[in-house]
Amino acid sequence: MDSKNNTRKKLTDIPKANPFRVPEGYFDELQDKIDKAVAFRQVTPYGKRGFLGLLGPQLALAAGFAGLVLLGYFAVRLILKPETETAKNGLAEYIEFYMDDFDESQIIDALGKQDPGMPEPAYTDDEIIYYLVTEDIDEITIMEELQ
Amino acid sequence: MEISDGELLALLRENREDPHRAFRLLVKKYHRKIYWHIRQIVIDHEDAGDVTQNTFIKAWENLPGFRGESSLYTWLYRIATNEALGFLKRKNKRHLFSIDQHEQLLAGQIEHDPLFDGDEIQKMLQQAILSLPTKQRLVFQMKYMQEMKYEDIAQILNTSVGALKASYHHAVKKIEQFMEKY
Repeated sequence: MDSKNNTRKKLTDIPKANPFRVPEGYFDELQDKIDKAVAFRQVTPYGKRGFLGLLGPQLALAAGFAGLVLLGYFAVRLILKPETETAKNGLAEYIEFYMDDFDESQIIDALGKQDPGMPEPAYTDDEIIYYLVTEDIDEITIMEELQ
Repeated sequence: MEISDGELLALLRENREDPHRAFRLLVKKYHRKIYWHIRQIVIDHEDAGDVTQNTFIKAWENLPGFRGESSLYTWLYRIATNEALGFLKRKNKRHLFSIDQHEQLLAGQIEHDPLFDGDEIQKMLQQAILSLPTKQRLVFQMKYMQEMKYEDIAQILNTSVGALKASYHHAVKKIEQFMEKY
């Protein structure tokens, strides 16, 4: 006989009896423990189910999807709308409140100063009027020049 | 006379007023077998008790989803096997054990376990089993120690009978080599 067969013999010689044991009365105790743990569970198979369980899987899925869409909609509203509304409302209130304190020319001056693209005038208004009068330039000539 | 799985399932489905009563019958029928299956995987008695309890809780929670595609017996064993393997994984992670360290730990547990009654040769066999890779170990324990059918093991481990036979063959070979050495 080769060594493999000898070892085989050894393996089959070992009794298949369970070498582990448990304390006396353990399985009765374990069964009680399991029964109590399961009884403690609120969700019971086939019987009382949770809210989604009562709806059924398809309805639950649809409800979940609708919930997600609503959540997304309100999230977008929360992020975007309040800002634009308050911005608009704020500007309107500001204009209404301060309208009496400013005239048009002040606003145009202020905007002209703020606009970096607008070049600083080389001549004052008085200088331009003086030039037009002394050079005798009429409206038609000015229009022709502008075109 | 022991209640059959078919009768148990019918009771569980019909007895909607008091499903706990029917489930208690299932626990009564299977808690010992499931405990021993788990004990062979996790070795420690206390751990085996905890994992057995978790197995039945999981079975209870998942019972409405059980469609009867597999037998109640293999379904329960599948939950038990997954729970036991998950438990060992978490334990190793918690204690930062490598696979080798874990094998040594389990072998040491057998050495000093007051609830281990085997003689030297049985101790050696258990240590040889613990030296196997997880899948081969499971297959050997279920086939050789628990004398389960390949078809049932295939359902429990979600694999083919052919793959199981190969695993079992390798496991026996490795155990023989281990026992030759000592």
